[in-house]
Amino acid sequence: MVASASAVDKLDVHDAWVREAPPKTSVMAAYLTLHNPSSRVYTLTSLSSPDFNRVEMHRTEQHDGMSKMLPVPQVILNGKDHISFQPGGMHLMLMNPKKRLRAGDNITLTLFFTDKHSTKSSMEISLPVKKATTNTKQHNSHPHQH
Amino acid sequence: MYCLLRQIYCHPKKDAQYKPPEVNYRAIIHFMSQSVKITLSLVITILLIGAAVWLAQQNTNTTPDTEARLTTPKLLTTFQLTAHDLKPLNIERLKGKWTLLFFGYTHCPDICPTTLTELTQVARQLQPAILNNTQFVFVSVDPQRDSPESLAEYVGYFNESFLGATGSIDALTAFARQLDSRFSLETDFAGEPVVNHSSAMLLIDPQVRYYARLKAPHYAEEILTQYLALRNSYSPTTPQVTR
Repeated sequence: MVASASAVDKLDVHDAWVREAPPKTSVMAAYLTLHNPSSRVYTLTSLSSPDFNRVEMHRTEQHDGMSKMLPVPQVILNGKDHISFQPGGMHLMLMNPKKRLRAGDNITLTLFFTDKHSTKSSMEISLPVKKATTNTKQHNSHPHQH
Repeated sequence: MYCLLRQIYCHPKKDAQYKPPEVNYRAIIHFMSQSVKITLSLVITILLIGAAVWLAQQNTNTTPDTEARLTTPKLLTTFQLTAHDLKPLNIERLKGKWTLLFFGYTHCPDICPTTLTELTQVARQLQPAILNNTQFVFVSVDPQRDSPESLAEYVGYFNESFLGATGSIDALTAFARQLDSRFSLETDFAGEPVVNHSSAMLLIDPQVRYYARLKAPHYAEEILTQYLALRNSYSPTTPQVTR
């Protein structure tokens, strides 16, 4: 994973991966955990990828027996905190892949942040495309701790 | 107490010889402590029995099958959807097999592939005899974007034997209603379609009765446990349909 030289260099990225999707799919999902070891607050405002037309943050919500996908406009990452994008919860929605991506491929993702002074910074990461294996209860209910 | 007893039981002036009866305090204390012991042990016994009964009830309430099983299975009435092989998905096609079915759409990047991945695990872990008698069905409630042909490719990616199906909005609505399920198709502020759908997985028995409802989130291990328990407890008094 390569991060560009900026204030957000201090953020750690863990468990980043893209779910391999069936052929001709127009949307894919990416998951990762962001950890902020500093005491500064960062807000993840948007994302982009040269491999997709658009990247959005979404959340799958179970409400009243219904599954809903809701857009997440921004995510605040407090100091010493972490946020997880994981299956069945918050995820990165990758729209219209420019080519078929298969397990073993890598994609590039740029995360855009602002801090409390509205200073903008960005971070570029590389994520492997993987074929999903089964989910376990632990994996879903316990965010990655470091 | 002594004075009280004296006033009640004697009249000192009339009977100078009166001697108050001796009170055996030791015996009283002994008797009282014995009764306290008996009462306490009774209370404890009752509490223990109560706790045991409550625990037993809790236990039966949460067995994997009774939790998901419908009190009264609902016989499905005529419906017609189109399966990904372009053949109809109807009552005939569900007869004689157990069916695990859920609603979704292919433009769903997170929860639908997650659930389908769990189901591939379930299929992998079932004994061949049970697997041969089980159907996995993914019903797309987004027919404008999901044609049976695109469902073939989508569902086949997870498991070649899984069935994809869809139909007209009316057919889907009526079918979902039979399974106490619903969906809605909306458009967001950017004009993008938004699809909401019931998250439960439905189990249909070989007599084509809506038999059990497995609540989300879905994990392979739990689906497997619940499904096998439901099959095992499938009442022998219930006439089973065989082909």
